[in-house]
Amino acid sequence: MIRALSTASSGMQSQQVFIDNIANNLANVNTPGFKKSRVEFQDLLYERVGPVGASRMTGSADPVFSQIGHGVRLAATTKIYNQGASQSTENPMDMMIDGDGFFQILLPDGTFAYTRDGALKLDSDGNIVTSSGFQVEPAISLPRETTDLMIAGDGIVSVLLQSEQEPAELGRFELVRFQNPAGLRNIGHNLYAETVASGPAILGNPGEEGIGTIQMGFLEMSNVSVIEEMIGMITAQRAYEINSKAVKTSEEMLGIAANLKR
Amino acid sequence: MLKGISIAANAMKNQTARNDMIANNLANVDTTGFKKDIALFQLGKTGGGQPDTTVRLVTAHEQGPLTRTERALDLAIQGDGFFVVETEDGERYTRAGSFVVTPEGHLATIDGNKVSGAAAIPPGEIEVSREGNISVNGVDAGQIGVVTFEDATRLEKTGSGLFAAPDDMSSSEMPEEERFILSGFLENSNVEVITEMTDMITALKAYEISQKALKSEDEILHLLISTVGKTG
Repeated sequence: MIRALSTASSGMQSQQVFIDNIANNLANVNTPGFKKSRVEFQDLLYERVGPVGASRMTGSADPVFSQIGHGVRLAATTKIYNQGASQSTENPMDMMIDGDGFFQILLPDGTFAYTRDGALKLDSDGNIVTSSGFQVEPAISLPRETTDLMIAGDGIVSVLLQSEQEPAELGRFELVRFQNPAGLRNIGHNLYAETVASGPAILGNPGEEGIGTIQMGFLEMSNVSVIEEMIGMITAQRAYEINSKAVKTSEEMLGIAANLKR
Repeated sequence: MLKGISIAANAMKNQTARNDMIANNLANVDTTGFKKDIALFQLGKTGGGQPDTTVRLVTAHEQGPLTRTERALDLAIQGDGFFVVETEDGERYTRAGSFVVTPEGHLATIDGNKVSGAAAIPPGEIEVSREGNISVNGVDAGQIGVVTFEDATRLEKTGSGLFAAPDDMSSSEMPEEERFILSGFLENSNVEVITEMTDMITALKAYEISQKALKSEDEILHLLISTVGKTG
């Protein structure tokens, strides 16, 4: 009946998704390794209309024709992989990646997931695992008689054993990177899964080819900026309100039209 | 007498189209690279000497405000120019520069359409210069194509932030020294809420007034039919 009604409702729906996304970013403002998302909007299709209101053909071709749009849609939510702030924790099992890389995690079902959350732990067998208990790949396990753990920037793990004087090398952390990290899928638990859009994981050693170095005793904080999100929230709320006014105006116009008939 | 009715009805149609356009502008108040439409009213003289007002919707290609995003592949054009996008339907043009790299290494829009000009992009630290030259870890990876048009208002919107050029219109490559591409920024929608809201009020009032005019024409007509020629 009136395009503006559905157009404005598409605007309201989009602003609602905008708010949903802000809420999730804000909820994760203290989640280590969390990467904020951004919503991206795109305009919908356009309808080509002749010169509106012309009751007769003028004959001459119009140099400019009119197009009426049908509103807006959510095109994508893009993860923003900016480095989050680092926080010193002095816990030797906390690791931060300074660069583009991800830790590789082996899930119980045998598939791999990826994370930036370096709050690692030891399980009862001395294996290095994530906070959720998933094994870090390649598997590194610490012997029981370990007194000191050292992880170098290039990912080499060495330990000092109780009876020894010299540190022993246990293995090396590997990191992965992606051609299009924005295409990774969130699977919760601070984990990402690879998709067709992200491309396959590219394995590398820390400190090589910009994949990033490992900083022991630090955690990467969430990269959510509270001020930015709050401003986004104000904008979205107002935009929602404004679109509701467009609905109201269209409704009034319909009422006026309905009043034409005596 | 019937002329008056059709003129008033025409005015109502015009205001409806204008309101539809305003709703679309407002719906896209947060759409990256969106260009608002404006309504131009034109008094046309057509056959029979009856004035016939038409409304044309024209895209206003004014610069939108820039927002800092700090993501290297968020590109904004300051001033003239469009990025060139290769779609299934041919070449399209856009100002929405939130790009990604596909697994094959192509620079693409968020819809996966290839952005023309860029070479294969390996993983690494991406930088984009003012002229649109891409470099990854300091190694050159092509130049993003930026084109201009003599009259951008003739471009057709095809949705998803894209514009198409009519057949008789050709783009010209923008000279390097005139380019101003900002990496880490996005161009916001150029919709101004205050203008749109005032226009919406005006459209509604104009609609209402035209309806009143139509109704009074109708009443006069009614009187005419029911009283003229009545004898005794």
